[in-house]
Amino acid sequence: MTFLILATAGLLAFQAALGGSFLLLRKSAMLTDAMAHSVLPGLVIGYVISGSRSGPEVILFAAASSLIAAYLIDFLSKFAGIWFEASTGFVFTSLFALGIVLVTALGGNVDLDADCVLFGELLYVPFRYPSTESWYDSLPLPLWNQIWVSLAWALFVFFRWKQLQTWAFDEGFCRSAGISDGGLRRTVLTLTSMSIVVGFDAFGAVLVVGFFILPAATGWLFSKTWNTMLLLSMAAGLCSTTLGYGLALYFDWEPGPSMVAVSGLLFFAATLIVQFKKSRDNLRSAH
Amino acid sequence: MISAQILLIMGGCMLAAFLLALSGIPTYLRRESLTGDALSHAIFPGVVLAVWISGANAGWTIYVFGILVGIIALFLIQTIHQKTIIPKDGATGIVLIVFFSVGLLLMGRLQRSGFPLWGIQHVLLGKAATILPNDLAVLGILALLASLLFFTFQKWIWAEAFDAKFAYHSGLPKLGYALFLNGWTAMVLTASIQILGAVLSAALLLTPAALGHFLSPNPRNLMLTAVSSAILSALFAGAISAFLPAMSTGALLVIMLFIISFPLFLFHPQKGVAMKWLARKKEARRWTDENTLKFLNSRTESNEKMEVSPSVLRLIKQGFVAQKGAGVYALTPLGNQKAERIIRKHRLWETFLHQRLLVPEGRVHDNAELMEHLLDDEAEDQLAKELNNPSSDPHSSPIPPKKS
Repeated sequence: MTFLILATAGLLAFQAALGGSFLLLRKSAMLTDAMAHSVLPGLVIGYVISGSRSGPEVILFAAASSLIAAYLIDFLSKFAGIWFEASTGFVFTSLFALGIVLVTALGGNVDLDADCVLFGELLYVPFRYPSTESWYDSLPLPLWNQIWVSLAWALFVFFRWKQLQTWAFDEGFCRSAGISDGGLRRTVLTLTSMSIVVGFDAFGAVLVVGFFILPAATGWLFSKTWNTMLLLSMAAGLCSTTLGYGLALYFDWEPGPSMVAVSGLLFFAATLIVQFKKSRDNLRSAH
Repeated sequence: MISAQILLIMGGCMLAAFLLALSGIPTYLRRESLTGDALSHAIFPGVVLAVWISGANAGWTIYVFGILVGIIALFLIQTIHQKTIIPKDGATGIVLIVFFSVGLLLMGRLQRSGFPLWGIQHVLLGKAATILPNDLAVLGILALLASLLFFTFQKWIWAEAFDAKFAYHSGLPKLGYALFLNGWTAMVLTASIQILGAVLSAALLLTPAALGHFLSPNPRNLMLTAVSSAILSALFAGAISAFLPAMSTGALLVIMLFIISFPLFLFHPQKGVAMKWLARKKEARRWTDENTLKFLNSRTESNEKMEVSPSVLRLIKQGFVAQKGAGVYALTPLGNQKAERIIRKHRLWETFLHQRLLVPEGRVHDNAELMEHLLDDEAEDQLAKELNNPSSDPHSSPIPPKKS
């Protein structure tokens, strides 16, 4: 059971370290926040259509609605002359409100409630097996979802390694070198929306964002190259999920918030270490 | 049908909408809209702590803790942004998510120890239906205070928003202003997240200001649009939730704001995206049509067969071109007149370039190709007068006289 929960969280940490690194470098960190909130209306619609909480319809609709949010934000800020941060806030809060209205309109018929949006249902992951009467039943459905999305991320990063590296650090150079940055951005956003949707199920609307931003930021603090940043982000992500879950078990905390809080702790510790090193170097060079 | 509770909800929503819309204007103009979103999440642990310390009816402790935690959060955002390589939006996200998760941890603890939770669960989603007369009073006092502060200091607010350096030089304390503004925002959010929830409060903080700024950069209009759009949506949302009590009033309020602002973003006569696109398209069509007219006029063989283009079809509709047979099109007298008018503008401009601006004869054509579409009738007349009604252009082609 512990293994299943850790595998779910760990796979999300893997995807989010990749996605978070790209988006943080491209100064779109708050876009993940916006996309995570915008999942809600799609989730409700998918739920109503399919009647299940983690079926393919739900993932499709939810990912679509968070992608729509991302594109709408770009559209409004590019063409309507609305400042990027304002259009981000405008779009995701509106979609979130739409989601809440849909949830309340369905009333008691839905087991999508405030707690599920806030916390996700990580602890129920080991109990939600698919019932297909085949080998697919060997793992819980949310874990399968995580596996497929992780695989998609791994393939994408493997085949587009060089282009991604160029794009993440220098959009202008990427364009002038003839690499289609639009295509890369679209793919990263699509995969990010998938990760957010499968993560939402386990962690809720807000905590998913922590998986994207915090480990990537921690990795960035220490690294000068792309490879180390990705590796360190993944390490930070895995570390905080394991440690966070351990602490949650020991102190009887909620596991999701505990993982994110530990991740934040890691980040702040990293900041302090980096600052300390900087001031020590300054002292040395002063002598 | 309209009970006291409905009136209470409606009043609460209108007050909260007014309060947030007004308080959000300076934050929005400082381009810190997302800081409002971060704050609304970050004060969560403060609210939980206050409830933990002083019980379910925490009263003013909530505000003290909300403001304190909010200021700490903003300080952290600033520090991370300034001291490390993490950009501002990353720092905002980091602080938002860390504070919120700590809040969730605290809340989980409270929940497990069987503490009466007084609807903390609604901090994210909001629950206007549980509004009490007390909340209404708090909101009313805050709204009054907000209007007083806004009108007393509005010169400074606008000055800081549009030219920060000027404002600081004229004696506005930079740090003090930032502290006060953010402390105020944190307090307002503390009051409103108990009713509307974190995300919806953030929406009310920024959308009205964004709409006001989109419609007019003029301070007074901006403020009036922001406040009135917020109050109007609160009114609609209240009315709808009177009939559909299960619906979340806060969410309806934000959707109403969306319904008011999004069509304006798209279809505002001058500034809407779709309208701007249409206007560009129309302009491009006019250029093509004028070029087609010129082409038809300059043909020596007018019985030549040609392919029909959308431009020709448009000209036929307008009566400038007539079909003479299968695939044969010719200008009508009206069309001829219009074509000559364009040629006149073209050649007048060429003459002007050559005579007055001393552009060599061989290089005047390309620029005139553009200007023939841009010169209006008044400019054409004045140009002709300025050049003493020339009869031929630098290439010695005749300039058609003006017929009206």
